[in-house]
Amino acid sequence: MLPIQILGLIGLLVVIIGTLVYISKRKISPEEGILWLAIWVLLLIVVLIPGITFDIARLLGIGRGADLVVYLLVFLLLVVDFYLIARIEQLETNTTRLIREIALRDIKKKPRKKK
Amino acid sequence: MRARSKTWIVVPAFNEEKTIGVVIKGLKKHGWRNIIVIDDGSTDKTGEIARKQGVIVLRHVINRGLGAALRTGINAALLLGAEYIVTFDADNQHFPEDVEKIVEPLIDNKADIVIGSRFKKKESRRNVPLKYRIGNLGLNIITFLLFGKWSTDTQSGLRGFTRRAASMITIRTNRMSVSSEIIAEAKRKKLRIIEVPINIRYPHQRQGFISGLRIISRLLLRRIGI
Repeated sequence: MLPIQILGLIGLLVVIIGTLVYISKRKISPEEGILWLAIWVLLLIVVLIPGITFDIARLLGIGRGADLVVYLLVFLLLVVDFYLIARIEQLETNTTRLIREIALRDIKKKPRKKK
Repeated sequence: MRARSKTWIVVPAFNEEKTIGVVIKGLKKHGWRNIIVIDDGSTDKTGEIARKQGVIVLRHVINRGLGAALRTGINAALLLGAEYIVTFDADNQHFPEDVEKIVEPLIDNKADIVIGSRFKKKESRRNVPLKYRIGNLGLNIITFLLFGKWSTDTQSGLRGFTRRAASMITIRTNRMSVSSEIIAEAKRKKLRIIEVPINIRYPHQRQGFISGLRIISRLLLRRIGI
């Protein structure tokens, strides 16, 4: 086994355990947890059998296996990024709605007092 | 004057302790009694000073930006039964005597939305420093290209709405691009929008170049529906 494989293996085992802990502590939803675990397992396969990326790369017309991994990771990160930006925007909107409700609370109360 | 009691003035304010007192006094002096100040998470005495003036002060406990503050103020005015709603900046750039000009076309049912334009009158235009004039022109052109509605002052803070128009308009942005957004919404909802000339004083530093870029990017996102 190459040193890089050992490093990759240790790193992936740590994040897999971490993900499992997060799922059991409900810090992330089971669905999200399974998605992440799937990604880690895929990476684990690549680390353990590096030749596999070479075969897939050739099949797709990409020169080297390492390039394929880089392309896939960049794409994956962009997808995650898009998702996070959308989520943040949604949280911003929710925060504003909450802050507005608090600000308007007194005004909304007044008509009720009159009744 | 007619309809004073049915008109509510919405003043969004973020750290404007130096000017908020003068602004409220000026509005009261001109007979406008229904005033709502939105203290948008100020860290200075803005809220305190406004409260001392006996007007309604609603506080955003966290700063949410101009668009959010305006929406809160407009919602409050609607809850309080306003027939006409005027938005008025807290930095003392507007003249309270101009409010009348904003409200009149609404009462006369000539318009659903009135924008007070700083660029319709020559002498008022001269009061605006050149770089803001250029910045504003740029934003006017972009607003026109994106939403197909020409306005001489898309970034004006002095505007008036009828109750119907205020209820119909959706403000999605939290930030400064709200001014262009209102114009876009007016067009989409087929509301009658007119401009009246207003005067302006430029007391201190306002929007810079970066803030202009931010407005443009928000408008682009808005156009493609995000």
